[in-house]
Amino acid sequence: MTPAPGTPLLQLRDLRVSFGPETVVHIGGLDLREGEFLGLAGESGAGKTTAGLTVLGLTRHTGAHVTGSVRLSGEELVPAPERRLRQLRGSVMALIPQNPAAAFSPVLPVGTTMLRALRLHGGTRAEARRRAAEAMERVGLPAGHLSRFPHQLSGGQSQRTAIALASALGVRLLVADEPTSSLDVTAQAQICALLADLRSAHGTAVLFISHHLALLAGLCDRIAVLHRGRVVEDRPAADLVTAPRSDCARELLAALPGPDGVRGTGTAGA
Amino acid sequence: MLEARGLTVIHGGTTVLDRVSLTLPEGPYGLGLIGESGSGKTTLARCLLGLVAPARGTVLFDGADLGRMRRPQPFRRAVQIVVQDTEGSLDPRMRVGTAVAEVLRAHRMVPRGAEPARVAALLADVGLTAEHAARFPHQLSGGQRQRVAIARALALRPRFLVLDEPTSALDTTVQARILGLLGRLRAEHRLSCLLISHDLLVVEEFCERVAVLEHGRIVEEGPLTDVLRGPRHPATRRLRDAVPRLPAAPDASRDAPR
Repeated sequence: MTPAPGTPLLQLRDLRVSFGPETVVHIGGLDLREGEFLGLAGESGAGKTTAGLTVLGLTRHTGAHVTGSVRLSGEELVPAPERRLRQLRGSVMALIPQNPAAAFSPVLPVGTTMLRALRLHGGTRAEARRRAAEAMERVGLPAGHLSRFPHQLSGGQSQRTAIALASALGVRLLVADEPTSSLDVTAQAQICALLADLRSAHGTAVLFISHHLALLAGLCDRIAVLHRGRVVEDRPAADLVTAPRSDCARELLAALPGPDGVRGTGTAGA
Repeated sequence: MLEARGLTVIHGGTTVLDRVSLTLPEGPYGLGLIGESGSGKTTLARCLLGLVAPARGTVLFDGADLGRMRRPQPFRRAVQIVVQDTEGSLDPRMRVGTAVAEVLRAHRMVPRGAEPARVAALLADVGLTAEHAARFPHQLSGGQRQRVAIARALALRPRFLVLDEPTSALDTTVQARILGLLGRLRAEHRLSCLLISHDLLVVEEFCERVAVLEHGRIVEEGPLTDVLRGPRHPATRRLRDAVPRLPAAPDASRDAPR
């Protein structure tokens, strides 16, 4: 399907996700343009992960009741058949989960998982091999790491491998769910730089889920703050963190570590 | 005083700690230990608790060598640890109140009759109620479980607290509350703390002094303000620059009363 020009890559409208009687996500409207980085912020339990997984069509198996609309390049995904969602996942959209090791089968070398994913979406074996090796190089890992098992990679290396896979698949949309929360600060900075590279190289859009507003501010064009499943603020990142309007955003800002006098001076990180 | 002198630890041919020395004076005090994953932070913590025997060097507790201590009981009470993994540090089959009581019993801290009151007081000190005491660990949030772990550490009236990434698994809002709690407890109980973190801002909020560990060596150590303003070692600069910070605010709205 060819979308009309100017159609956002991702459009959420009146999206409700409920588990039994409890509605955990109710997003009236949220858009993500091609190549845009959108931060999805909020406290634990605000519904960030549920919203992200719903975009990928991954909550319907968990007993969630999903209504409303998720459009990817204009194509409606909420009632879409599972076969279509599987096609889209891995070719147009992909997930980078918080636990990088969980993204790969523990009993296979990461390269095997990568080749299977690449071949599932077309191409010859030789071509898949070449693309996997190139993608590893782009994330700064030797192609030799493809023969390693997930437990033989550090957290940062697994996360880079997951990004390499997404980049080899050429997806348009990445849902990154707290991709750096289990990493140390230097590994975190590397992952953020790689995601930025991915955008400049391929124009990949990223829905970046995090509770850390300073991290989102450095990476995202816009930030949407989720509170009890609802978007309470959705503005350009710099505006939101310097002049927050919602109580929720103010609380997230106040919770950032560091003594008040040093917090937010923006000098040390520059 | 708790002191590490020239600690060297070797695991399978790899030098994990290389001649590390540091001192925790009497509290209230906060020493930060920062370093990347794999730099040896947790191994150093385990040495200070006597859980890892160094190949070379000593840990001195009030001047006595840990390796040759005949009666380690006072040391075991005086030095306590709180770790990152709140789920792994509590018995999943034990109610929270029982988990705290167990510590009191193991060290004969109070007569049996006084136990329930002491457990309640310890939980209250960390902001938990009798209702929490009846729950199992999986029925608590990560922040609440960390409060239980802190209560268990305080049960032995320690003088030294090793905090090994106590807030790294928590979101920023919960992290702020736990750091606030630790700050209050440190002052009230006159605790001397070693706070281990990879996040310089966390250390900045809590400590007066900081040591930087890289590949098992302390590459820089000094008063927090000096290290922050003029880091001398590249590892320190890397850690400082990697911390996400907010852009400069155009106005003072962040500090406006709320």
